[in-house]
Amino acid sequence: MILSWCEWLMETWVSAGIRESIWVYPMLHWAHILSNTLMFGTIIFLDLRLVGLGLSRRRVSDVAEQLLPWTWLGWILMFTSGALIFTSDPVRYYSSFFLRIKMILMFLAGFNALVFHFTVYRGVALWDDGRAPILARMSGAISLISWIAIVITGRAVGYFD
Amino acid sequence: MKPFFDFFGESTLGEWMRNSRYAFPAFEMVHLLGLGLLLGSILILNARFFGLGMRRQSVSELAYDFAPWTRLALAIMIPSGIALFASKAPDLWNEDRFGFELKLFLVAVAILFHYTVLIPLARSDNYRRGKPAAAFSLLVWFGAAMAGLSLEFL
Repeated sequence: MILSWCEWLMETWVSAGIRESIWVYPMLHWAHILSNTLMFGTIIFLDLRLVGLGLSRRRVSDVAEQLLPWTWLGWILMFTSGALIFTSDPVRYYSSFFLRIKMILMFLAGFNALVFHFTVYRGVALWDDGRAPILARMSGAISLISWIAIVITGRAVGYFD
Repeated sequence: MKPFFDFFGESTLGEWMRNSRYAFPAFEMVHLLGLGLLLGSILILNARFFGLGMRRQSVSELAYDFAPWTRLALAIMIPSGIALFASKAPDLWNEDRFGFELKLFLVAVAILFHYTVLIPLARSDNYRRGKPAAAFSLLVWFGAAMAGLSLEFL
Protein backbone atom coordinates (compact mmCIF):
# COMPACT_ATOMS: atom_id res chain seq x y z
CA MET A 1 0.00 0.00 0.00
CA ILE A 2 2.76 2.41 0.98
CA LEU A 3 4.83 1.13 -1.92
CA SER A 4 2.10 1.91 -4.46
CA TRP A 5 1.78 5.37 -2.95
CA CYS A 6 5.57 5.78 -3.37
CA GLU A 7 5.24 4.72 -7.01
CA TRP A 8 2.51 7.29 -7.54
CA LEU A 9 4.62 9.96 -5.79
CA MET A 10 7.54 9.19 -8.05
CA GLU A 11 5.45 10.06 -11.12
CA THR A 12 4.54 13.54 -9.83
CA TRP A 13 6.22 16.64 -11.24
CA VAL A 14 7.72 17.56 -7.83
CA SER A 15 9.57 14.25 -7.64
CA ALA A 16 10.76 14.42 -11.24
CA GLY A 17 11.73 18.07 -10.80
CA ILE A 18 14.00 17.39 -7.82
CA ARG A 19 15.46 14.27 -9.43
CA GLU A 20 16.30 15.96 -12.68
CA SER A 21 17.66 19.23 -11.32
CA ILE A 22 21.43 19.26 -10.81
CA TRP A 23 21.40 21.75 -7.95
CA VAL A 24 18.10 21.24 -6.06
CA TYR A 25 19.17 17.82 -4.73
CA PRO A 26 22.53 18.98 -3.26
CA MET A 27 20.81 22.12 -1.91
CA LEU A 28 18.28 19.96 -0.07
CA HIS A 29 21.09 17.95 1.51
CA TRP A 30 22.82 21.17 2.58
CA ALA A 31 19.59 22.46 4.10
CA HIS A 32 18.99 19.13 5.83
CA ILE A 33 22.46 18.97 7.40
CA LEU A 34 22.64 22.68 8.29
CA SER A 35 19.22 22.68 9.95
CA ASN A 36 20.42 19.68 11.92
CA THR A 37 22.79 22.06 13.72
CA LEU A 38 19.66 23.96 14.86
CA MET A 39 17.78 20.87 15.95
CA PHE A 40 20.43 18.37 17.14
CA GLY A 41 22.71 21.25 18.22
CA THR A 42 20.10 22.58 20.64
CA ILE A 43 18.31 19.46 21.90
CA ILE A 44 21.55 17.80 22.96
CA PHE A 45 22.22 20.63 25.41
CA LEU A 46 18.89 20.03 27.14
CA ASP A 47 19.68 16.30 27.18
CA LEU A 48 23.17 16.91 28.56
CA ARG A 49 21.71 19.15 31.28
CA LEU A 50 19.16 16.47 32.21
CA VAL A 51 21.74 13.70 32.28
CA GLY A 52 24.02 15.88 34.42
CA LEU A 53 26.91 16.25 31.99
CA GLY A 54 26.63 19.91 31.11
CA LEU A 55 25.26 23.40 31.83
CA SER A 56 25.08 22.45 35.49
CA ARG A 57 24.86 26.12 36.55
CA ARG A 58 21.65 26.63 34.51
CA ARG A 59 18.13 25.78 35.54
CA VAL A 60 16.57 22.95 33.55
CA SER A 61 13.55 25.14 32.76
CA ASP A 62 15.83 27.96 31.53
CA VAL A 63 17.54 25.59 29.11
CA ALA A 64 14.28 23.96 27.98
CA GLU A 65 12.19 27.10 27.54
CA GLN A 66 14.90 29.07 25.77
CA LEU A 67 16.25 26.36 23.48
CA LEU A 68 13.16 24.36 22.50
CA PRO A 69 11.79 27.03 20.10
CA TRP A 70 15.08 26.65 18.16
CA THR A 71 14.77 22.88 18.25
CA TRP A 72 11.25 23.14 16.79
CA LEU A 73 12.37 25.54 14.07
CA GLY A 74 15.17 23.10 13.23
CA TRP A 75 12.68 20.21 13.24
CA ILE A 76 10.37 21.99 10.76
CA LEU A 77 13.30 22.71 8.42
CA MET A 78 14.56 19.13 8.76
CA PHE A 79 11.15 17.60 8.14
CA THR A 80 10.56 19.77 5.06
CA SER A 81 13.97 19.14 3.50
CA GLY A 82 13.85 15.47 4.47
CA ALA A 83 10.38 15.00 2.97
CA LEU A 84 11.56 16.62 -0.28
CA ILE A 85 14.65 14.38 -0.40
CA PHE A 86 12.34 11.39 0.08
CA THR A 87 10.07 12.69 -2.70
CA SER A 88 12.98 12.76 -5.15
CA ASP A 89 13.30 8.96 -5.11
CA PRO A 90 10.47 7.49 -2.99
CA VAL A 91 10.70 3.88 -4.15
CA ARG A 92 14.40 3.64 -3.33
CA TYR A 93 14.03 5.37 0.04
CA TYR A 94 10.98 3.27 0.89
CA SER A 95 13.08 0.11 0.62
CA SER A 96 16.04 1.58 2.53
CA PHE A 97 16.74 -0.47 5.64
CA PHE A 98 18.44 2.41 7.45
CA LEU A 99 15.63 4.85 6.71
CA ARG A 100 13.19 2.43 8.36
CA ILE A 101 15.43 2.20 11.43
CA LYS A 102 15.71 5.98 11.42
CA MET A 103 11.91 6.37 11.34
CA ILE A 104 11.52 3.98 14.29
CA LEU A 105 14.13 5.98 16.21
CA MET A 106 12.29 9.22 15.37
CA PHE A 107 9.08 7.82 16.84
CA LEU A 108 11.00 6.66 19.90
CA ALA A 109 12.56 10.12 20.38
CA GLY A 110 9.19 11.83 19.85
CA PHE A 111 7.37 9.50 22.23
CA ASN A 112 10.12 9.94 24.83
CA ALA A 113 9.87 13.76 24.58
CA LEU A 114 6.09 13.61 24.88
CA VAL A 115 6.22 11.41 27.98
CA PHE A 116 8.90 13.64 29.51
CA HIS A 117 6.87 16.82 29.02
CA PHE A 118 3.62 15.45 30.35
CA THR A 119 5.03 13.59 33.35
CA VAL A 120 8.31 14.36 35.09
CA TYR A 121 8.78 17.86 33.56
CA ARG A 122 5.48 18.98 35.13
CA GLY A 123 7.22 18.99 38.49
CA VAL A 124 10.39 20.69 37.23
CA ALA A 125 10.05 23.46 39.86
CA LEU A 126 11.09 20.92 42.51
CA TRP A 127 14.40 19.98 40.88
CA ASP A 128 15.06 22.93 38.56
CA ASP A 129 18.38 23.98 40.09
CA GLY A 130 20.10 20.77 40.92
CA ARG A 131 20.34 17.19 39.84
CA ALA A 132 17.40 15.90 37.84
CA PRO A 133 15.41 12.93 39.19
CA ILE A 134 16.07 9.48 37.77
CA LEU A 135 13.12 9.57 35.32
CA ALA A 136 14.30 12.89 33.87
CA ARG A 137 17.88 11.62 33.61
CA MET A 138 16.66 8.50 31.82
CA SER A 139 14.58 10.59 29.46
CA GLY A 140 17.62 12.77 28.68
CA ALA A 141 19.76 9.69 28.05
CA ILE A 142 17.17 8.10 25.74
CA SER A 143 16.86 11.36 23.81
CA LEU A 144 20.64 11.81 23.51
CA ILE A 145 21.21 8.24 22.32
CA SER A 146 18.31 8.27 19.88
CA TRP A 147 19.32 11.58 18.28
CA ILE A 148 22.91 10.41 17.86
CA ALA A 149 21.58 7.19 16.31
CA ILE A 150 19.26 9.21 14.04
CA VAL A 151 22.20 11.23 12.68
CA ILE A 152 24.19 8.02 12.13
CA THR A 153 21.36 6.11 10.42
CA GLY A 154 20.50 9.22 8.39
CA ARG A 155 24.01 9.28 6.95
CA ALA A 156 23.91 5.51 6.42
CA VAL A 157 20.85 5.91 4.16
CA GLY A 158 23.11 7.65 1.65
CA TYR A 159 25.71 4.87 1.69
CA PHE A 160 24.03 1.51 2.11
CA ASP A 161 20.83 -0.14 0.93
CA MET B 1 49.93 22.92 -1.57
CA LYS B 2 50.86 19.79 -3.54
CA PRO B 3 53.22 18.42 -0.82
CA PHE B 4 50.45 19.00 1.74
CA PHE B 5 47.91 16.97 -0.26
CA ASP B 6 50.55 14.29 -0.98
CA PHE B 7 51.56 14.01 2.66
CA PHE B 8 48.02 13.21 3.78
CA GLY B 9 46.98 11.33 0.65
CA GLU B 10 49.96 8.97 0.72
CA SER B 11 49.91 8.46 4.48
CA THR B 12 49.13 5.09 6.05
CA LEU B 13 45.89 6.61 7.32
CA GLY B 14 44.78 7.62 3.82
CA GLU B 15 45.75 4.23 2.45
CA TRP B 16 43.82 2.45 5.20
CA MET B 17 40.74 4.67 4.74
CA ARG B 18 40.61 3.98 0.99
CA ASN B 19 40.96 0.22 1.51
CA SER B 20 38.05 0.01 3.93
CA ARG B 21 34.45 0.09 2.85
CA TYR B 22 33.22 1.40 6.17
CA ALA B 23 35.97 3.78 7.33
CA PHE B 24 34.87 6.77 5.25
CA PRO B 25 31.15 6.63 6.15
CA ALA B 26 32.03 5.95 9.80
CA PHE B 27 34.31 8.99 10.05
CA GLU B 28 31.75 11.06 8.19
CA MET B 29 29.10 10.16 10.79
CA VAL B 30 31.47 11.20 13.58
CA HIS B 31 32.30 14.41 11.71
CA LEU B 32 28.57 15.22 11.32
CA LEU B 33 27.84 14.59 15.00
CA GLY B 34 30.73 16.94 15.83
CA LEU B 35 29.27 19.50 13.42
CA GLY B 36 25.94 19.49 15.23
CA LEU B 37 27.63 19.95 18.59
CA LEU B 38 30.02 22.62 17.27
CA LEU B 39 27.56 24.79 15.37
CA GLY B 40 24.91 24.31 18.07
CA SER B 41 27.22 25.74 20.73
CA ILE B 42 28.48 28.49 18.39
CA LEU B 43 24.96 29.45 17.34
CA ILE B 44 23.62 29.67 20.90
CA LEU B 45 26.55 31.86 22.00
CA ASN B 46 26.51 34.16 18.97
CA ALA B 47 22.73 34.55 18.89
CA ARG B 48 22.87 35.87 22.46
CA PHE B 49 24.78 38.97 21.27
CA PHE B 50 21.62 39.87 19.32
CA GLY B 51 19.35 39.17 22.30
CA LEU B 52 18.12 35.90 20.81
CA GLY B 53 17.90 32.44 22.33
CA MET B 54 19.18 32.07 25.89
CA ARG B 55 18.55 35.71 26.80
CA ARG B 56 18.00 35.11 30.52
CA GLN B 57 21.75 34.48 30.75
CA SER B 58 24.41 37.04 29.93
CA VAL B 59 26.74 36.29 27.05
CA SER B 60 29.65 35.87 29.51
CA GLU B 61 27.70 33.16 31.34
CA LEU B 62 27.01 31.38 28.06
CA ALA B 63 30.68 31.64 27.05
CA TYR B 64 31.51 29.82 30.30
CA ASP B 65 28.77 27.18 29.84
CA PHE B 66 29.46 26.32 26.22
CA ALA B 67 33.29 26.58 26.10
CA PRO B 68 33.88 22.90 26.99
CA TRP B 69 31.36 21.78 24.32
CA THR B 70 32.88 23.91 21.57
CA ARG B 71 36.27 22.47 22.54
CA LEU B 72 34.97 18.89 22.60
CA ALA B 73 33.31 19.43 19.20
CA LEU B 74 36.62 20.67 17.73
CA ALA B 75 38.41 17.70 19.28
CA ILE B 76 35.92 15.45 17.43
CA MET B 77 35.85 17.33 14.14
CA ILE B 78 39.56 17.99 13.54
CA PRO B 79 40.84 14.38 13.80
CA SER B 80 37.84 12.98 11.90
CA GLY B 81 38.28 15.74 9.31
CA ILE B 82 41.96 14.82 8.87
CA ALA B 83 40.98 11.18 8.32
CA LEU B 84 38.35 12.16 5.72
CA PHE B 85 40.85 14.44 3.97
CA ALA B 86 43.59 11.78 3.96
CA SER B 87 41.14 9.43 2.26
CA LYS B 88 40.10 11.87 -0.45
CA ALA B 89 43.26 13.97 -0.87
CA PRO B 90 44.27 12.55 -4.30
CA ASP B 91 40.76 13.08 -5.74
CA LEU B 92 40.47 16.51 -4.18
CA TRP B 93 43.82 17.58 -5.63
CA ASN B 94 42.66 16.62 -9.12
CA GLU B 95 39.04 17.73 -8.96
CA ASP B 96 38.32 20.27 -6.25
CA ARG B 97 41.59 21.68 -4.92
CA PHE B 98 40.12 25.15 -4.52
CA GLY B 99 37.02 23.91 -2.66
CA PHE B 100 39.17 22.19 -0.07
CA GLU B 101 41.59 25.10 0.30
CA LEU B 102 38.66 27.47 0.78
CA LYS B 103 37.21 25.20 3.45
CA LEU B 104 40.53 24.91 5.28
CA PHE B 105 40.98 28.69 5.15
CA LEU B 106 37.47 29.38 6.49
CA VAL B 107 37.87 26.86 9.33
CA ALA B 108 41.21 28.44 10.32
CA VAL B 109 39.73 31.95 10.27
CA ALA B 110 36.65 30.81 12.22
CA ILE B 111 38.69 29.14 14.99
CA LEU B 112 41.17 32.02 15.28
CA PHE B 113 38.42 34.64 15.29
CA HIS B 114 36.42 32.70 17.85
CA TYR B 115 39.24 32.46 20.38
CA THR B 116 40.98 35.81 19.80
CA VAL B 117 38.02 38.15 19.20
CA LEU B 118 34.64 36.64 20.01
CA ILE B 119 35.38 34.93 23.32
CA PRO B 120 37.09 38.03 24.84
CA LEU B 121 34.08 40.16 23.77
CA ALA B 122 31.71 37.57 25.27
CA ARG B 123 33.64 37.37 28.56
CA SER B 124 33.47 41.16 28.97
CA ASP B 125 29.77 41.25 27.97
CA ASN B 126 30.55 43.70 25.20
CA TYR B 127 27.29 43.64 23.23
CA ARG B 128 28.02 46.75 21.17
CA ARG B 129 31.15 45.35 19.54
CA GLY B 130 29.94 41.81 19.95
CA LYS B 131 27.09 42.16 17.43
CA PRO B 132 29.21 42.75 14.31
CA ALA B 133 31.75 40.21 15.59
CA ALA B 134 29.04 37.59 16.08
CA ALA B 135 27.61 38.28 12.62
CA PHE B 136 31.05 37.80 11.09
CA SER B 137 31.68 34.68 13.18
CA LEU B 138 28.40 33.04 12.09
CA LEU B 139 29.09 33.88 8.46
CA VAL B 140 32.54 32.27 8.57
CA TRP B 141 31.44 29.17 10.54
CA PHE B 142 28.45 28.45 8.30
CA GLY B 143 30.54 29.31 5.23
CA ALA B 144 33.09 26.71 6.38
CA ALA B 145 30.30 24.15 6.91
CA MET B 146 28.86 24.79 3.44
CA ALA B 147 32.27 24.62 1.81
CA GLY B 148 32.82 21.31 3.61
CA LEU B 149 29.44 19.95 2.55
CA SER B 150 30.10 20.87 -1.07
CA LEU B 151 33.18 18.59 -1.01
CA GLU B 152 30.81 15.75 -0.22
CA PHE B 153 29.05 16.19 -3.57
CA LEU B 154 32.26 15.72 -5.52
